[in-house]
Amino acid sequence: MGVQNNDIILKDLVVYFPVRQGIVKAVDHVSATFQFGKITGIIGESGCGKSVMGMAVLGLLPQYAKAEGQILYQGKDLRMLSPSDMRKMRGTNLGLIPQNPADSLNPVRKIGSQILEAALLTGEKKQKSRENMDKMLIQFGFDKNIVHRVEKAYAFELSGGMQQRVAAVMGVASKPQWILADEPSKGLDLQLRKQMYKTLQQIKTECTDSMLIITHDLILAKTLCDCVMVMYAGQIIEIGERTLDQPKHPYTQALLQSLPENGFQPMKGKAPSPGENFEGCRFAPRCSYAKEECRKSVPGYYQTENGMVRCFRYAGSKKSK
Amino acid sequence: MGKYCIKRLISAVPVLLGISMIAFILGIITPGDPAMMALSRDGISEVTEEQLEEKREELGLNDPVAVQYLRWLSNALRGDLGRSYADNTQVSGELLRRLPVTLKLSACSLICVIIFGIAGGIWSASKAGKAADSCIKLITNLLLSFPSFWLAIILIIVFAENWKILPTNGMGGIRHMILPSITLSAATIGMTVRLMRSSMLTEFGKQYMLAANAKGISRIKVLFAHALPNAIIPVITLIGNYMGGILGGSFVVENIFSLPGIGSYVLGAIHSRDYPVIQGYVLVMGFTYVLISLVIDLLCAMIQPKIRLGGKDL
Repeated sequence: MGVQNNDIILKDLVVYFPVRQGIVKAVDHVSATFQFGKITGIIGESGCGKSVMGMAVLGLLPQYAKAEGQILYQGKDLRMLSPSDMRKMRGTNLGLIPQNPADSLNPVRKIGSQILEAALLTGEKKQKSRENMDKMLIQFGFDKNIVHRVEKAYAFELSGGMQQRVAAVMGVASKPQWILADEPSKGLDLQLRKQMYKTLQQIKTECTDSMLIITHDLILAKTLCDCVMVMYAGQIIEIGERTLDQPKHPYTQALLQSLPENGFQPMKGKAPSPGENFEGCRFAPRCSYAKEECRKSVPGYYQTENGMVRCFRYAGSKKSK
Repeated sequence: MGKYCIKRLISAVPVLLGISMIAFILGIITPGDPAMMALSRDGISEVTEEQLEEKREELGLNDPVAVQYLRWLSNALRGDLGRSYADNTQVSGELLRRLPVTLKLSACSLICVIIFGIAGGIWSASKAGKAADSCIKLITNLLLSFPSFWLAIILIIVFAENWKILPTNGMGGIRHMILPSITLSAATIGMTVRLMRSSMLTEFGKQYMLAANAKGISRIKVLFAHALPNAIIPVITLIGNYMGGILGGSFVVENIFSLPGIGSYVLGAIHSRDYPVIQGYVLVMGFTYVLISLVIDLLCAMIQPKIRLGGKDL
């Protein structure tokens, strides 16, 4: 890989957690490319492994997690970098907008110092970084008059919406090339969620061009993302630019049907439990189209008009890799 | 912060009054007649009924208890804690002369606790699960299980008898304080290391630490600027509580190392039932303890904005 490639490419990534009964695979042989300059959404039910995959990209997996496979970025395998090199990679290249902004801000430090810490990584002088921070806070909807008060405040003195915007500013303050938003709308009420959409939209237009949004919020994925990947039980089962408009995989279809505006039909069966063993297609036990074949053998990736899907129903079309 | 300071200071007043009452009641409920004791101190004089009555009047023992308490309190506030039964010296004078020794010893122990306890805890936590961590765990276990007098004897044998590098007893420069303060602080260091370690590890698991790590700032910064200020609050509280233990437990160490502190003074007084001395000791210790907890509270409030600001939303 001679030319610098800013895409993030996962090759056969496996992340598992050793537990007493064996291992729990959170990410199971995932190969995918997150394209530079695009917004990729990763959707799936809770526990499907999407957050773990995101943390693996950032090198922030908990210590007891084990990973295999490659994460390629700029011609380097991020998994092979030393902890201090990975630290340098974070911040300036890979930024995080964490879930639960309230818990993501240090309770005993002032907001300003926490943002400034990240802003200083751009290499600017302190004074300039400070100005940038003010500018960014204003950009993210804080009134000019209260910016300085917010900087001197502690996290618990801010409202939920303010905390969220501060967390977003903290993620982009070091001007990273990639921003990973981990469940940005989790646990937010409608009002805050709308605000979050606006914030993310703003990040998209003003701060960065490459984003990875991990979410189970289908509306968020639909409105913001250029490309959507659907994860189920640790695997990516559908990739495409119009995944949510023209869902191919029965799981994606069922997910969309469970939305209130599409009839509020709950999905059949139970979500697979962690550590479960699978034979054949992982979704087969819950799938209304499942055939004998689905229960016995594992489907590969099949090409569709604008993406790929992992389902035998599309086996007629050309098989990709 | 100023407002919080004043609030805490005011709330200390009833506690101080309570301590003074306890110290005073100690003198009232103890068996024996102070007048009798004061007169028969030499052990040879025959005390007559008139002399006793006269002495009681002189000492104000015929007044109601409340009046006696107020008189005693106002004397105490002016620095007069009465005279020792044993040698008729001023209790306050003797306490004042001996207090600096005990305070010096406690301060040295406190420094040991802060340096070894907190640093050890941080180091142990940052190396959690590795060899260094297990090593520290072993050392803290040992520190916690040594009785202080045993440790003192071992230290004296090794450093004073065999290697002859440190003095065994008496006052002098800082060298005289090394062995006693290590003895006095050993168990507290063990506790502090453990609490600091577990407190740091708890913080490591929190979401804001993930966010701090994701920012790409250096590991040192993450440890000291993010985790430490949060993790240290329970440790400060523990050290504050143990300061009371250090002060109270100092008499063992003072005796072993022959330090003329208030611990050894009160030990003698307890043997000879010298109540004014015990009263004075209780009072001084109580006041010191209240002072320490006040300082601890203010420290915590300085670090933890939620305490001082009361957690109101903007």
